[in-house]
Amino acid sequence: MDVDASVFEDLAAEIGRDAAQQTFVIFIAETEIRLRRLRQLSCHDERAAIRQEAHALKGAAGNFGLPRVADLAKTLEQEATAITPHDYAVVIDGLEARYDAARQRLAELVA
Amino acid sequence: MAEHRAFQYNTFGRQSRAAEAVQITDRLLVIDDDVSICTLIAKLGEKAGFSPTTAVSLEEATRLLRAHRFDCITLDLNIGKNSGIQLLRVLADMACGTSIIIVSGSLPSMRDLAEAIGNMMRLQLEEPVPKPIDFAKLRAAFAGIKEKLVLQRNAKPAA
Repeated sequence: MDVDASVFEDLAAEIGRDAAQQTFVIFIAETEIRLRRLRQLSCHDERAAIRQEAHALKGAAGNFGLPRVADLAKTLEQEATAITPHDYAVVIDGLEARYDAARQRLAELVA
Repeated sequence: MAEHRAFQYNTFGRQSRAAEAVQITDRLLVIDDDVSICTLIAKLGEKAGFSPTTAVSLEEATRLLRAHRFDCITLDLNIGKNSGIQLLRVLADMACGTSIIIVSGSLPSMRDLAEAIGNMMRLQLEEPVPKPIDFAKLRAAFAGIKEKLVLQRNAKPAA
């Protein structure tokens, strides 16, 4: 499942549809910034930052109903201290692909 | 960068003023390094009747805590490069009596450790809320704190 829309519906039930949409808009913007930052980080001397970003992405994606992104971010967080540059690039490709797969559904939710 | 983005997204000032119109005065400080999570918790807090302020770094949270009184604090245990436990120490140094809810995706053992440290420091820690956030659990935590605040106010002798 790319997007668990029940998370949005649950949030809308709690705080109202408009507020839920505003919150998801911020999540989308933040996630795109975070993915760009992860793409720019280097395995050579920025492993701590990679771990932090992966941890934050895992938390946000989990909270906003993107389980596939959250799962891969969790893997990256766990492997950040040892991952090879090649594998890091593969994981970032995977995160971007999983997010891209979710993007259309997210756009529908906030429209 | 993070603080700048928090400022860009922080629309609570307008909503907080609206809240004041219906006499909501209890202040909530949401501490989380992820702006979207801050927003999510702040909106839930606002719905529960708090006037929320957000902080995305340890430094920003410390500055706000020194400048303002809060009635409830939610605290992530990973705040960028810093640990929320560091902030517990800051709160203990201030002899803070505010109710604190740890909202964290850390391992349960880490949440238990933070809770134990907070209790040793005589901080007012509520039941932690794990991430992904269970909305009903956080709502219940906010409601419990609101109830406690009402009881405290009613217990105060009239001036």
